[in-house]
Amino acid sequence: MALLLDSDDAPSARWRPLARWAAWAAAAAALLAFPLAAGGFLTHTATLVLLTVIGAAGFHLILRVGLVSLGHAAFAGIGGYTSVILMMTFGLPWIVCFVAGGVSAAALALLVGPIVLRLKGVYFVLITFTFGEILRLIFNDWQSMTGGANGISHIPPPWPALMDTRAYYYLALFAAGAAILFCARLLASDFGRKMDAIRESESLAEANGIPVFAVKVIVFAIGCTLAGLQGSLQAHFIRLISPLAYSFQESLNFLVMNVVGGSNSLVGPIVGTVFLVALPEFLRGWVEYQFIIYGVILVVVMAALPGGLVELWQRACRWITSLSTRSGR
Amino acid sequence: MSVLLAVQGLGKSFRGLRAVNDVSFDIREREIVGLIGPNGAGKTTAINLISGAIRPTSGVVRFRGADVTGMPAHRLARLGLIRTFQATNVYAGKTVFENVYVGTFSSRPSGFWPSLLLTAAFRREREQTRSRIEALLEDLGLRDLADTPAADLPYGYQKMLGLATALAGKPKLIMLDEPAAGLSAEEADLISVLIGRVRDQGVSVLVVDHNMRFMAKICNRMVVLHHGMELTSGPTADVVRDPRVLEAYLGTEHSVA
Repeated sequence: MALLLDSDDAPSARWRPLARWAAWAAAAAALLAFPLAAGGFLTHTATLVLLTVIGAAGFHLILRVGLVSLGHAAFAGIGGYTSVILMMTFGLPWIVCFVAGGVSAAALALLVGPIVLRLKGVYFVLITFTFGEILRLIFNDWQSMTGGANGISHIPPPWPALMDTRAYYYLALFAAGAAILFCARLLASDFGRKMDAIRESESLAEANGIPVFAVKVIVFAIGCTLAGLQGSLQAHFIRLISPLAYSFQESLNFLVMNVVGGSNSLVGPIVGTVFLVALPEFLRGWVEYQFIIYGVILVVVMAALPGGLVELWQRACRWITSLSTRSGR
Repeated sequence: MSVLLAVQGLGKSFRGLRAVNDVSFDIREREIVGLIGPNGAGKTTAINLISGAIRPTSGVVRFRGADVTGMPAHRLARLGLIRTFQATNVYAGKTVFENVYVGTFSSRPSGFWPSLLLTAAFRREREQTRSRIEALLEDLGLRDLADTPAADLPYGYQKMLGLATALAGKPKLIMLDEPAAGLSAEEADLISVLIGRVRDQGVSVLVVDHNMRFMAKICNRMVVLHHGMELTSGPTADVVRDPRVLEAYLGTEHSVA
């Protein structure tokens, strides 16, 4: 009930809002101060994490209506290529290109969504996989526009000042924060409750007056829009765009981020992204073993923590609560 | 008493197999109608056809005077025709309160932005909804379980919760697919009392169930299906004494005795 009413009814809750605000303030301060304390490499990695969080949150929304889209990275590609081409070929200002990146991904999602969303379960997974691969081939083969397999390099940053990684970190932080706030609010709203109802039982949701198909199309479009925006921001950060970055493996990564982090709450994809984007950056010395380490971690998480790494935190909280009640007696 | 639901010549064929064939009946306001018949008679298919879960191949369904044949279930729910299912009637991961909250969606404004932006009007409306849910839970004896996940409830309570969720949508007609299946005699009695009270509040009820004791107690009228066709219909007292009904259930050998 607490989530529903945006306030906690429990009697012990009086101190909680304060503690929660303190925790949020501390987290915000840490995120803001991070580039000042950390070096260039860490800041670069953190920026990548922040940008990927945007796409992972979009993937999470789609997952919350019970769907796995393996074309997610391709929608990031649509956003990236649209933004880069508009800026470099047509010389449009960055903000226009950025918005166009999101809009193009949304438009494509609204075009194919009503078709592919008629398929359920594994068929939806397969059709989105196929669609994603078709898009990747287009990125790869439309030489004159996309630069083919080599892609496009020397992409300018949004503004000259954003050549600096630290400056870009703050842009990424702002964008990721806005995306997460939007998703959190969406999931906590009545619309989010409809999404969860659909994931639990489509036929029951339909019988309770929820337009299941329409909700799915909207969620798919929102999720793909976030992917498109991430694609744009990322291309102008790495300053290189190529079909490799939007392959099926990247879509699979979004799924793994959600599963490892936890697919039942928005915190899951955030934790999962930190894990999956940061880890390879630190494991560069052991490139050969990277995927083995990955595999082991995945197996362990799925076997021991079906709710993802988030569950670890929840279990810890419960343990602490049980300790405190025991000592209080 | 005016006619609330009128079903005429309803039929559904699955690749030549006629699951439901030329079924016609009416449900009037404040009436409890039972849909009975042996296994495979087409009772659940009939409910699926009326509620919009599947499209009929023939026939017309009129609800509150309007032709609603083949209308999607979510739109029918908003018009006031709500059904329950044999198996899944609760969102297992949600609490009792949240389950009923989902049920209220079909009776509330469905705007996307007011809820997202938490407008004052939306919050006022939600507060009213909250009181309404609490009253409903109180009424059904589920108040103390409001924060319990539906998955943790005993089976009988889950049935009750499914009913509460359907009622939260303010139906004019509620269609219950086996509301007493798997319940003990006491629990079935409780459900039958409840269905009577729902009717007294002005809601019509269509019930499908195998439990004849339960059905005979609550139904004003009955429609009997056999092999997808209407065998007979009429006041409950007449139908339960009809030898053809006994025959359909038990076979010809028993009909003489």
